[in-house]
Amino acid sequence: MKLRRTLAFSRRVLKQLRHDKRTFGFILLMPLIMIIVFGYTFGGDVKNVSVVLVNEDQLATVIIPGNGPGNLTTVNLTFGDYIDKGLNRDTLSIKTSDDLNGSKENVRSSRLYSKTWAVIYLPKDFSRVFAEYITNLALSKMITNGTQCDARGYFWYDGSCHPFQASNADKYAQSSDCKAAGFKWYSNKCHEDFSDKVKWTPTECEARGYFWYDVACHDGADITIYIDGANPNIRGTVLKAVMDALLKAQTEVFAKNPALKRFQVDNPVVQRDDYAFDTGDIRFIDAFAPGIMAFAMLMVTTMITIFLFIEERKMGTLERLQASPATEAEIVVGYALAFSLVSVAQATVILITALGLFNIYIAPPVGYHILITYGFLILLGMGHQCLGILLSSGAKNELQAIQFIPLIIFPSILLCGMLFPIESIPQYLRPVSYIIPLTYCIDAVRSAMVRGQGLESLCCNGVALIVFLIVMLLGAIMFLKRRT
Amino acid sequence: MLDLTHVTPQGKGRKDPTKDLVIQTKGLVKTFGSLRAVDGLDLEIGGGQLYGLLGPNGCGKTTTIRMALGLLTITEGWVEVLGVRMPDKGIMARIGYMPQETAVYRELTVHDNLELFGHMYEVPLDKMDRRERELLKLVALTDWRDSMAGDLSGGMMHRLSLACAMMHNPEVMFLDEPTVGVDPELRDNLWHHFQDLCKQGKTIILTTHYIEESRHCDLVGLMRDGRIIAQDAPKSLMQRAGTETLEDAFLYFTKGMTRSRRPEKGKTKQGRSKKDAGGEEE
Repeated sequence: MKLRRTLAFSRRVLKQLRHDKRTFGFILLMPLIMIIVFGYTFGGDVKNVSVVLVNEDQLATVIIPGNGPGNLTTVNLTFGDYIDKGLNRDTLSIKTSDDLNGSKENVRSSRLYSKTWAVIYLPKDFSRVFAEYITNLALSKMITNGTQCDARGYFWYDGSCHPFQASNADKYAQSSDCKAAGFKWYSNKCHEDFSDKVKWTPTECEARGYFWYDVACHDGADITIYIDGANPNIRGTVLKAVMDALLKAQTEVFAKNPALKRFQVDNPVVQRDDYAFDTGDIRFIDAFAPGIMAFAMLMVTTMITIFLFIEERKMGTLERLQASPATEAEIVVGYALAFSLVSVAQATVILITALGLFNIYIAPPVGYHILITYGFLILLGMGHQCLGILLSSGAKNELQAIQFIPLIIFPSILLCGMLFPIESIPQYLRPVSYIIPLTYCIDAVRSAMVRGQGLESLCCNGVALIVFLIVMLLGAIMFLKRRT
Repeated sequence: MLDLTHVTPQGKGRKDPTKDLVIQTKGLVKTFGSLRAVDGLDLEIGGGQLYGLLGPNGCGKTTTIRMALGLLTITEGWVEVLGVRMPDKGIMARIGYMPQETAVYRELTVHDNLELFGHMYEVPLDKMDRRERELLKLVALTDWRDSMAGDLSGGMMHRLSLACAMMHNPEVMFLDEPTVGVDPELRDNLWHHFQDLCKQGKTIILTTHYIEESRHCDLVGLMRDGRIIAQDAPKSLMQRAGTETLEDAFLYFTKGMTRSRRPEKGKTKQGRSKKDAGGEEE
């Protein structure tokens, strides 16, 4: 194999691509459009979901008894404001309103443009429930004997001090006991009456220590989310945003009011997220951009090689090369070198776009991981370019070549694990995933850029791609050597 | 690999006639299915000769050339070029080939095309420029050096294709229809150039279906149904046929063959199409 011929051949391919403005545009613009379109829309982080916040919450007071009688600390707070602050303004586009029913009506209207997806409702007793809860907790923690409790005018039962007397119903913890005593058992609790609560007027409801909202009497104050669940993506996002806000608000309340700090509820079981890699803040696009780089590479090299070779055969230039001292290996390697340059240029364009538009994450050391990424892309590109040469034998013209898209390109993009995890692909299709070279390339590129893994962890992927490349390279050379 | 691209041309007056044979085929046969595109062809072309392979479409001219270059497998018989049994990659640097299709890269400039083939045949880098200028002058494309090949007219592209085949100054040239679509004036130039090259000791085998044109050749082989039916210098052919023009001579020899043709040959001739005969066109 002579270097001079190989390089001359590479130069020729590059010149040809440069002169062919349309193809040149395809190479650079196709991945750009893909990353922009996919990056903004496809199944990723939902953004700007219109929701209405109806916040009727009112100031409430937490009372914390001191060591001696009359020695009280009071903390005024509006818990709803903490929730309001805790809602993620990136994912939710929040409007506030006082009109609960009107807002609900908006959720029901089906509009494509500026649609309201959910109403988040905080009732006016929202903070009161929270305040009472803390007060209760404080009482039971501070006052540990019945005499002290009674002396302060509180009520001692169940082994702790309570601000209110227990209702008769509260005494029964078993449904059978509850029913035997003539009370009603529902919602896992014994109630004085089954039907009365429904019949109560708002005043009656609140007089009995319940909470009136949503035109009914409720046991406690809740956040109500009235939501159009037709889009599971949006539903998940809204519910998660509210849950996050709740957790954040609680932490905030205890952090801002040192007097409450000692009553912060410590759950017996705590979930601690311990990431194997530094991927805590990874967004969809961060993991997706490396995939797009590999996929664009595959698409461009495969398609353009097929087209170039069909042209080469149609024009007779291939025959001319075969009748020259140039060997098949020189032709194939020359092509491969040219497409390596193309792939690096393409990957760079994608990388710059992804960094500029989406500020994607690249694990440090950035330079090293970009180098690894390029290495894998080049391996994949060269392999697919050889595959393109092989495929070109199966197509007589460009029209027939287009038919390879559903055959090669679609399975690759759908089964490679870029869009759907391989685990979620049906069992019988999974072997296909594992013979698609793109699978190994995307995994490697993601591991490098997102997980920050080095070459030592990626050698299996490397071996898989090298095997693919060698097989395809030999195949392409043998195919070109074939004579009728 | 032997690089004899630029050895001094062989003189015409070689003593050993067998050594002097540059292209030799013996019992060359190529079948496509039931069709015998080339049917027992024996050729002997000496060094420094301008040999014209003549015949109607689909008579096996192109198939013969493609077998000689190793582009097609040989069904039976053998071909030797420069004393080497084909196919052999090692000898390709000494051979020039111009395919029948206008095989140039249309998205490259005229210059890029010539440069590419210069590299492919490893023309010494310091000679590339001079060679390119000579050839552009010969094929009258000097002013189009930086034009896209695809923007040229058909005839111009064809001339570029010819120039590409001659870039490395090969000892032997296979030119498949080199004068198709070329203006009469330039065509005359080309023929003179071919003759000059042969005087320098190069060997050229070309095909044409402009029968009159082949008077420029040293030797003409008339092909019909995959066989040489007559081979001689153009003048001798006309004498033998007793005709005024080569065209008439060709018709004369064709008739002679038709009479002597065996009946079963007729059947295969019926099924012959352009495509079957190995891509012959026009």
